[in-house]
Amino acid sequence: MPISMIIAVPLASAIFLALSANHINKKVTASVACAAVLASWVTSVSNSLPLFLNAFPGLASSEGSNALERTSGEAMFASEHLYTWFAVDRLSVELAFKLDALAALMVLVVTSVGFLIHLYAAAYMVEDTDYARFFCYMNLFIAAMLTLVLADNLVLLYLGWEGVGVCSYLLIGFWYQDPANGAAARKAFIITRIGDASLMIAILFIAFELGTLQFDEIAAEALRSWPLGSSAAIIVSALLLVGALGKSAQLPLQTWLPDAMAGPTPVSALLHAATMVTAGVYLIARTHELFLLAPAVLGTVATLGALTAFFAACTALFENNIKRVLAYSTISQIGYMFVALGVAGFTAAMFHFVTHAFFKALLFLSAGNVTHCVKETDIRRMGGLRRSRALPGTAAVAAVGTASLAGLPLITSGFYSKDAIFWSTLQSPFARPGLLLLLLVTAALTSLYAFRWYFMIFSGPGSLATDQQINRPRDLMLYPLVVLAAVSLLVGFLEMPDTLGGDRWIKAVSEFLQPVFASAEQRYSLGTSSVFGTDEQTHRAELTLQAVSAAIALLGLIMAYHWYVIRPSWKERLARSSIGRSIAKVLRSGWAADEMYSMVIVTPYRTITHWLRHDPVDDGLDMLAGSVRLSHYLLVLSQNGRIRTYAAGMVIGASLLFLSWLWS
Amino acid sequence: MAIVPTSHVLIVSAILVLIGTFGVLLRRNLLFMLLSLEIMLNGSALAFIAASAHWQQPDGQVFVMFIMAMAAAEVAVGLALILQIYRRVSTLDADALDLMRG
Repeated sequence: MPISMIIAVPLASAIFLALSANHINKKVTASVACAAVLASWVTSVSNSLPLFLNAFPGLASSEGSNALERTSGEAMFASEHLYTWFAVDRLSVELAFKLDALAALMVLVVTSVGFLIHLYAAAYMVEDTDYARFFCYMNLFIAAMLTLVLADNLVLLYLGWEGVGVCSYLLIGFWYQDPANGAAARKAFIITRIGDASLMIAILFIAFELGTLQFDEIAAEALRSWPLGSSAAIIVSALLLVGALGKSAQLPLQTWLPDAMAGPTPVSALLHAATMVTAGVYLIARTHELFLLAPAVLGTVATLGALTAFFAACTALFENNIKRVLAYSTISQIGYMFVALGVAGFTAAMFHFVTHAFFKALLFLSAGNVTHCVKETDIRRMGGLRRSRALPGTAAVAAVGTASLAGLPLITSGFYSKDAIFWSTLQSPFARPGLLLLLLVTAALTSLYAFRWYFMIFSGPGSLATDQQINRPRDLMLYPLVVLAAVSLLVGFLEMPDTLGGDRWIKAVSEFLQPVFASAEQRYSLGTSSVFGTDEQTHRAELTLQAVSAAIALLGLIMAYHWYVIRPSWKERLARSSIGRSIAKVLRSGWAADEMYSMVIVTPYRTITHWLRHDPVDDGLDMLAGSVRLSHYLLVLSQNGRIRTYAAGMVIGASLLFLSWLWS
Repeated sequence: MAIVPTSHVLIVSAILVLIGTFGVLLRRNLLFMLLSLEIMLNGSALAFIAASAHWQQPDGQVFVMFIMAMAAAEVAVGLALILQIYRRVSTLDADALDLMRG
């Protein structure tokens, strides 16, 4: 099956659902939507198979790589060229797709997580009247994200990029009858537009400077014509970075994501886990050659990522809305991915993307089950739901998701992916001092807020638990969670660290992605020259780091258990002290970012628009029009319709002529 | 019979033209305005006669014939118009008839 089928099937399904306009019944609607994503997943698996066989020759008995194109390096990929979109001068933009290891990883995660979320949504949204519209947007969202990932050039990527933006707008504002949802949707759209504009400028800059927009050619041309640290490389990668910051909700463009919780829960899950917010990570990973040419920008990526991770984790600790906690945790976890990208640990970033996609989808869908059952979104009013007969399954899978987010050692995938990021930060030549420390502090906070979230919902006393009115979640709302929980536990074992036998046993993600990043890693000798001298010292350092990160995760768990289960009374003491209250208030409002933007940008902007309401340029033009109108009135006075006035005019004129003739 | 000097005749004709002009400008009744026009025409006709007598040429008298014919035609049309105006708007006040005002 051609690669374009991966995109075409969800797109066709979206068009079909749009045209059906709620006239077909809900079972058919949901079946079409889910089947489309499933078909997309099957297509991507079958297309990625040669890549797997290439990366892991042990799996294939026969030679299975005949469908692949071999380029000068080791890069392996499958590609499909549909037609030339447009060609201007030497610049030609093709409608072409490319499935290399990086794209394959993204596509597999997007379609598999997307499929499970679609299944869940089929049950979750069943009471909604706009069922078909919802699935139409969801399928379109998947199609746009797949376009973004599979695009072979920046323009096609931009098409998917904007498509994702539009779909997120449509889905966040899905319940548009409430004006607050519409406002949240507009906020998401407008703030991401800042990044989009920056990406647009970057694309134009690349087209002008390098004369090509195809990814491999960009990398080759940039390496040929831009020296390391040249201003062109810095400008382009800085512009790309701003684009990625907007889409991935990183500092300073992070404020739209918590408000995006206004959408239905499956949307939040899709937005946070598989699509949209990871687009920025993908963009940087895809253009990593440009970023490596600009080490200053790469350092900024890491710094911004670490700061975002820390700030968002602090806010998540004080947030009380069940979904907004998860939103801040997404911002924080994407911050981890940015750090990994910034220290050139691209494999670690993508690995964390994979694990995060699964456990974050799991957490969001669990939260959806909880809110569906207890009709409540404030976690302070929950508690003890583990004991409720309606939610034991949800409590169990949510525990798996929470443990994964916190990175509990050895059993959860989050531990392995986060550890990969710590390790690449420690040994990277790009890492700045303090970065690792900030990451470790954030890891402690992450574990703390993750378990706070879990304990406040599922443990302790709670009036909701004994309430017999609690709805049971539908069966279809639980099965996808079980799958996601299983994957959240198992996916970590795909990439074991060396200390746990990864080098002897399996490092699937890095081996799979090796064709994409190998040339860059060799050129900058990343990951080969260790800063620790001998192998044994390296081994010991890595083991120490893992012990520290494991201890931190456990410490967070113990602290959360102590503060939120055993002795929850400290909260009242905090509420009594004014300092504690104000700190909590600042943190809960996301470091007052919204207020700051409101003060620095929105208010001055509104003031200026107020001043300019009567456009000064218009005033000048109005004066011209006014003078014309005035002379019109004056001339109209002469045309008073009285014959005697006209006659007088004639007489005066004739007399003047006569007099001038006399005097001449 | 003393010969009237040409200049005197021309002065009379100028006075007639001025009387006609001021009549057209100051009178508001359309009928009087028409009469004033006739006076102006006669004033100019008198000037032609005087000039004709002064230079002993017949052209001026021929011109007066034309002026009289034209005046008769003008009065016929003018009076018909004035009658129609009076039937339609029941007034002959020239200032009231300002339908063409801009």
